[in-house]
Amino acid sequence: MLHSYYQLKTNAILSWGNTLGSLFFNFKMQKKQEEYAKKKFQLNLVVSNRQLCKSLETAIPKEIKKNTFVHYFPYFSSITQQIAQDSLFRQELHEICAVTDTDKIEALAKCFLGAWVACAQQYINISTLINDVRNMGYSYIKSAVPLYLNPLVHKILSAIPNFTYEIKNGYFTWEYRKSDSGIFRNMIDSRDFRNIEQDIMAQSPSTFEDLEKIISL
Amino acid sequence: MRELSPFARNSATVQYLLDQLSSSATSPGDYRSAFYNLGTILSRAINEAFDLSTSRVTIACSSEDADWLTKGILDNLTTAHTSLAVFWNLRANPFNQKDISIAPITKSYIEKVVNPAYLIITKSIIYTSCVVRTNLTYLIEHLNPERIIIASPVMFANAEETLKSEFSPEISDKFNFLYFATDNEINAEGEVMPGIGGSVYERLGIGNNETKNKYIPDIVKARRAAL
Repeated sequence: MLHSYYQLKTNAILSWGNTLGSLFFNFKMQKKQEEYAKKKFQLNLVVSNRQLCKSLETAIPKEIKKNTFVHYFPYFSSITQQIAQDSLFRQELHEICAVTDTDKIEALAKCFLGAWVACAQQYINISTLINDVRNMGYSYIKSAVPLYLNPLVHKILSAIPNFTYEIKNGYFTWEYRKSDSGIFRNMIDSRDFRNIEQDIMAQSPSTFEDLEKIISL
Repeated sequence: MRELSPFARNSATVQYLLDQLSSSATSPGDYRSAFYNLGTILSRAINEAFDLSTSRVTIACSSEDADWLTKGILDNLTTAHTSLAVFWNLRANPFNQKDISIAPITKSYIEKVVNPAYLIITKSIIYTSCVVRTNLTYLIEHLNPERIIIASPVMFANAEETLKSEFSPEISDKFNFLYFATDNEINAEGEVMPGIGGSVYERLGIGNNETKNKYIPDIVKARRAAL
């Protein structure tokens, strides 16, 4: 297994240095520790300035060069700004978000942030983090498998005038005429949505106004 | 501590209505009326500050604010055409992290309009700006308004700067804030003091944070039926 370590820096001015406490010193100590433990490892420095990234990459000291990588990741003061200004970050979130609305993408990003903060930012792997986010609900993370509506529910919904729906990556999205639209907060295999399905089957709404009372949560 | 805007300092009526909101003794009926009346007065302030008489205007709000505060504005606004946008937001703190808040839109009612000259976004109180920012972002992406009026009876002291900082200058330069009071105290429950007297959903009698999205405003039902 490859052990990857990341150090994040937002400083505009930074160098590897060679004294106690310098970046080079820290990376060298980490390298020694990993080699002593006979681990396969990679050391990563992430900086928020593109020029700085290039200069640090060029100047990686020979002693740590084989295992060290420098990455650029722009830094903004909030998740909202990060999504608005960093197109690559937004694109990555697009890939895992069930829908493309900015508010859902932001919710997903903040759910990951919440999961990360909640685990005290240690001893957690990516798949656990993803599962935590997926299990929490209202993250709008894509379903890993195709999900389908109950056929009877489909039949009832299809008969409601001017109402259309679509299952998008596991989420129930709907429109009524051109004025109303919505998305259910949890995936359709969630207990919350299964309860909604039960209510739809029990009440068999024939108008949007009747359905609206059931699907509004 | 509360600081009144110049408009509110000169109006005993506004001060009385703000006190009604912050008082726990106010009944839900009077609480609703206070918001409606504050909306009416906000609309007068908007009419005085901006000439909307020949403009297309969209007024947007959260579902809990539609029937009272927003209706008070809507009933008294002088425009060439006014469309309504109402949002139902899911308010949550993922993994109980109180510093991380989200307000994704779970449902919306939006009357069709193309490039309105003015967007008026109303809110009972603006504190963290999470809901206003979320809805505003959606509206800016979809409607591209020329000017944006943010109208609220009460705002937290730094809410204006917080909201502006979440948008690029080319967007935040479009903002005009209208409010009657700013408060700078937060209680242990995380509510602005004196603010609007606690949870607006419960004070209005439309449920709590978990159930408030069940409420379908009368104004939405009526306008949807007339479309």
